[in-house]
Amino acid sequence: MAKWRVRIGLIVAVIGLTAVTWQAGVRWQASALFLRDGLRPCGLNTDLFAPVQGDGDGAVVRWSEQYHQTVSGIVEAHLGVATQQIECSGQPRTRPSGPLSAVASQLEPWKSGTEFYEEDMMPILSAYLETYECALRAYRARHYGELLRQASVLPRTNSVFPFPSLNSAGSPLLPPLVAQWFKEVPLIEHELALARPALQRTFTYLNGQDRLRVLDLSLTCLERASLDIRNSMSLAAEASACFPSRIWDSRGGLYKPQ
Amino acid sequence: MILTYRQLSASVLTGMILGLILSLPVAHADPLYDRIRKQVERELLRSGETTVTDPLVDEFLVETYEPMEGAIERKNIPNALIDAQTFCDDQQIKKFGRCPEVRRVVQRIAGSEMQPRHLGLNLNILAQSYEQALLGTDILQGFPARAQAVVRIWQPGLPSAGTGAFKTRLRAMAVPESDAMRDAFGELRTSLNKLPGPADGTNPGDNGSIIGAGWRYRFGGVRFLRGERTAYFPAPLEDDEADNTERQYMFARWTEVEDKLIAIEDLLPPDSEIDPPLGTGDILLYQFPQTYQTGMPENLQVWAYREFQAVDQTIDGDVGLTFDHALEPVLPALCADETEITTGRTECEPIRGGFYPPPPPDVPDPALCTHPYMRQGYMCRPLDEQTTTECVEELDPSDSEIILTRCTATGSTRATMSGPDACLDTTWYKEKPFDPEKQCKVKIVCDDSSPFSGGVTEPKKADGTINIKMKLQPDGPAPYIILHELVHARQACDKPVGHLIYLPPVAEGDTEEVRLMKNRGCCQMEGEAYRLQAEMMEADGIFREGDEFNGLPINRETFWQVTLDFSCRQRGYGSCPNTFTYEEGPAEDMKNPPAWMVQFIQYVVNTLAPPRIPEWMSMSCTDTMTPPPPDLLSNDVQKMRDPRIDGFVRELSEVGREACAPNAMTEYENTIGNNACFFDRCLERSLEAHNIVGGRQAFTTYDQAYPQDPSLTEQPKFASLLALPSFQPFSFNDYRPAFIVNLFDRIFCDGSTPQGVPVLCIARRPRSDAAIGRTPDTLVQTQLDEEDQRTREIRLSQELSEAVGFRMGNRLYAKYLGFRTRQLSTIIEAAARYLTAFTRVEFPEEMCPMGPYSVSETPTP
Repeated sequence: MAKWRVRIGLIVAVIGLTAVTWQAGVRWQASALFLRDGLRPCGLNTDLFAPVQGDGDGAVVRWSEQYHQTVSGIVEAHLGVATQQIECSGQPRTRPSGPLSAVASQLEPWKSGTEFYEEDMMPILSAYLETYECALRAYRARHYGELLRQASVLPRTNSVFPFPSLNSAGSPLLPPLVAQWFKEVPLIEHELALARPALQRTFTYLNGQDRLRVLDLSLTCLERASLDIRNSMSLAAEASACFPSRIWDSRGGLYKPQ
Repeated sequence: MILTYRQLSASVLTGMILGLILSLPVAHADPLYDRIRKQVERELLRSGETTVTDPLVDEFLVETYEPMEGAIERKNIPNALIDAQTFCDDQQIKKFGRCPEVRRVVQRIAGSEMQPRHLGLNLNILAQSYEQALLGTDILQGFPARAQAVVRIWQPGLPSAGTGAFKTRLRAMAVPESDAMRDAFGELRTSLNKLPGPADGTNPGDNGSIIGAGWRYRFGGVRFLRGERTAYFPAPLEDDEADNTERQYMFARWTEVEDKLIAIEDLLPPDSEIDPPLGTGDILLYQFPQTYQTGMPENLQVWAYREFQAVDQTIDGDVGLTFDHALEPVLPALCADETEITTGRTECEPIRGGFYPPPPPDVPDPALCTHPYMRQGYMCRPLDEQTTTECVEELDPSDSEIILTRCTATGSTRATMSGPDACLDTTWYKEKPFDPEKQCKVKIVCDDSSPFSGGVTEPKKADGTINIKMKLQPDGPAPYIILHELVHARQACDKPVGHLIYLPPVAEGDTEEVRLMKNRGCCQMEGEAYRLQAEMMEADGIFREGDEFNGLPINRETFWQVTLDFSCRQRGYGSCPNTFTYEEGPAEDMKNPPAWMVQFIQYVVNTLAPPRIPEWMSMSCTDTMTPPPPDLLSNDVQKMRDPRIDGFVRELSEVGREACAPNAMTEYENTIGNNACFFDRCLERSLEAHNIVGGRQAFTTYDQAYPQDPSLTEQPKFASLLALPSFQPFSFNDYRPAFIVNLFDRIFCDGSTPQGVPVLCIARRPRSDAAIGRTPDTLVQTQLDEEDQRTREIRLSQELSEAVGFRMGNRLYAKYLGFRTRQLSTIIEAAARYLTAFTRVEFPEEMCPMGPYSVSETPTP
């Protein structure tokens, strides 16, 4: 019976935390930018976001820093992309920056060889965000599952309190997994609430620029084409100096009758 | 809605135009994404997830409720938002009573103030999304600079001449590092840091004045705001009524910051060190060392520029502030700054709103147009063609016609002897000083001093002037005779002062060689003139098929040869060998032309020509040079000066400094347009003035071709295949967002549209009038009643504003890009075809057989 009480206690605690999570999730869904239909099954991406040995309870912190630094680096590179990277044959486009290539090469479908350019930054970052969120959720779910698994094997006690012992100060001594849960879940919720709106606003800011960027690319290509035309016209002008009037006039023209 | 208007006023109106540019020096700043992420983080906090709200809103709420016996304290507000029990347990609230309703009112007021602030941030991000692409973080690498570069590669003209499409030239100067300048930036940084920060809830007491300062000095600089540029730009109007209102930061001034900016400007290198010196249209942008710009609050940056004022030939400029990324707008103030604005605020005097702000003027903000580069934008540039030209392209032909292009515009007609010259309106190559020995100035004088019946061309004077003296009523239409004399002027134009185009008449004792030379001179010089005259008469329809005189056809050929032979005989040079009326014999014997020649000429001049002379042509010299207005004429016919005369005079002004002239060097900037001008001049010169093959004369020296000439290669026809697009004057859509949004508001508030429900308009109502001086019951009920209305109106306004904005933007894009790029692409394609075709031209390896002018090759009619 006590074992069941412990289990129920743990489950209640987890459900309580999940309720907070769900509440934040509702808010997050309300501001969701992207359609959720048809998304691929997601989980812990072993290439980009995966717990590593020795992470301890710092995986989420590490992922958070990694994600935001990566996005920031890609955005900065996008703002300062050099004109030398523009390809003018066909539809003008820009070769992707290094930071963007580094991320895209680990995400489908670009990982499988789908061609991409700097202009594909927003889909790539969206996929990156999706991977990040999936990793956070999967991590939380795995953690949650582990909590349930541990709760299921806890020994029965006569205490109604779900946690078996108290520390020296008289506070419940939380199992390590529960302690980690209380530490990481708020950060996960914070990231799930923050990452998407932040990227959305960044996209909003970049969107107008990227619309004009198409024109800017065309202008850059036009500038190059214009230089070619100018060179050709220079040659043509040089050649035109040899039109017959000059040749003839040098030998006595119309106005030199005497 | 107030906020929508305000945001658009503050950000969109102040920027989003083509050519609306500031010098934004490159400087290290916080990464964009990190700043946006922090902004979103702050909003998440304010959204109720935690107990943090915007301190300014809290303060506003407390002060607003102050008249009600201190019922609401600042510490209660977070509880009202998230903790009902604690809020209702507060003693003051219990004393006040009706806790749930009061809490709801607090929530609603806090929400209604926070919502527009969030909306303002988002609107600003949206507007900046478009503006930033135009402004760029570095003007020299940005979109406008690239557009200018393309134009410069294409446009004809000299930079110093201020001609061409782009009349400005961007230049940059790196400001050298110095201790004085570093200290000046440090002082500015200190002054800025003393300003209260952005009203983002980060720090209590922040009121947005630092953001206001950034926006205030973003476009119009300090010197403009101080009225120090009134010689060129009137000082801006100050809106005193904005003091202590929600718009106070839009018109505020920060004198200490201004002083520091001026100090920085004073340390810039003196104008005398600008190398090369600034010329008309030059804009010099100063680029400050990156290290100086780093560390400014809110990523503010300093800009400064100098420009050459053509009006008084002085150098002028300004200095100001801007953001690298303007992520935050000037939010509506909630607390009045009744004290010194730069020192911040210690207590909040709530701004309770008021009536709708006065509509913005239906003219661009004058600050926009102070910057020389912005001045090129369409909001600042008068578009004359919009008002003076009506040019409608008609592209809907009927079943029986094919219209390539048609334009209803009427413009000045320009013509030369063989068609319009390219680049006449553009100074595209370097001028040389006028040399009277090689150039001329033609002056047409109408008086009766000419010894001849028509006119006479006098020898060139010392100053290079060649006078053409015309009889007031010459024998025959004056334009033809003037054109005739202009040919003589051309013959003498590049000759030394006093040059006679041909020698005196044959005299007794002249050797045979001299006699022939004199005869040849008259026949050639007069021949050119009469040929041109006859050609013009034919072009005007004087000669027609079937005309004859006693069996002799009357046409261009017969006319010029008869008149030439007649003229040279009468003057004592003898008969001309290159005419069909030529008669062998000494000049003395040939002095008197036969009577039929006189009759022939008189028939043409007196009988044949008069009814066929174009209506626009005047007969007298005076009327030809200065056509009388229609109301002075009996038949109300519009008279005009023969454009061929003006074209000829213009061409004469080019003599001696022509491009592509033999033994002359032409110097011009290497642009596509200038190369095309040079190419055209060479081509026209070749076609108009050449004498390529004996007997194959140019257009101006008309003669028939020799059919027996060696067969020439087929003339490449690429030029004739070019179909360039018609250039219609382009009109931009009106783009006055603040005006449109204001209008949009007023239409709804006046209820003049089917959907316009006046009751929805909260803009006319003071923000918190319900909260002032009312009983708690009334207050609560009134606030609750208004809630749904406000929510509904805000949502409606937001949706409609966004739709209006998108439609405006898309229309601008579609119209401008669709129209202009089509023309541009057509030009590019034409250029590509042209140049490709040019490569296929095969030039002969050997020159065509040429030789001295041969009488034996004289054609016969």
